[in-house]
Amino acid sequence: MKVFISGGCKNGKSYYAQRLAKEQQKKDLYYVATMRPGDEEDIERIGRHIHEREGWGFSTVEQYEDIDQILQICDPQGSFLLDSVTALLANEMYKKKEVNIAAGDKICWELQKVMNVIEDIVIVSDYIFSDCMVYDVLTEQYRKALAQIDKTAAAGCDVVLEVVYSNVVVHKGGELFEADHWGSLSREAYVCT
Amino acid sequence: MKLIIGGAYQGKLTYVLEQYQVDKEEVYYASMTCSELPADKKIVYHLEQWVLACQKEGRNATEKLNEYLQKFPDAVLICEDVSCGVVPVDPKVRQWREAVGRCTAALSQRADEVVRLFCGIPTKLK
Repeated sequence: MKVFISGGCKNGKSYYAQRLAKEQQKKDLYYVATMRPGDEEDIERIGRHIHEREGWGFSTVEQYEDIDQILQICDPQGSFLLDSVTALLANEMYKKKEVNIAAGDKICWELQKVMNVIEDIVIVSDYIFSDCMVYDVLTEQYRKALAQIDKTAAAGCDVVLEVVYSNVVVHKGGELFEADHWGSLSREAYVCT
Repeated sequence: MKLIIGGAYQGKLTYVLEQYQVDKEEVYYASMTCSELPADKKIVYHLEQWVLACQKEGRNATEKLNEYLQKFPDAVLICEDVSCGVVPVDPKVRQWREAVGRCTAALSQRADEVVRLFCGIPTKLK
């Protein structure tokens, strides 16, 4: 099953996504890490995430750009967790001196390829669209591109979830999501403490 | 009246065009520089910008909307959700955000239908 998850920060998305990916593991279990560490804070955050995943059985694949490359590197029959398209977009958009405004289109295209081939994947994004800030042009382009990616991923996934402070709102695929083996996972997200 | 809400770029206009089978020409694109509502169109996009225009020109948004809705009881109003960020430092932006919130809440009570868009997916709230 393909699941798209978004929501505000520190709502428990990543930990919940991890559980979903683990839940649908049949063969290999992949964690597609997208955050290119930029500073001490990033290294700390990544360390925390690695620690959280210990003992879960994830193979970590570092893919900071060209996301469709995971189709070459991994067994497409595995269960994937892609966390997150937010970081992926930042990497693609700002990888050179000049901002790549086509990054959104590129990721949408590559994600579609990924979603066509891989059966079991959980894709995580961040919901940054309901404030009243007036942003500079570059940030606004980033917001627009992320929304484009979110809409593409949501259209391609079987289930679309919004995590709101550990509660799960099902926007798409409710019947599928609540079917049998998803059981207790389906309604309540778990915040890792 | 129908109220369509959702964050930026979530697919609100696309939803309205598809759901109600209308052309873009039938949509009024509100801006922060004009506090008038259209005399000949019943679909208003970026209602939040119109609220800002009212605020700038010192006009009462609720009264103007009431007049408009008397004329177009079957209007479709599309409003961006600007309510979830950090409280803005600028008092004008703060007032605007609150005005949009009050306006949307009042419209929501009145509406026959309220739909929220999330990543292109509509959910009927009412």
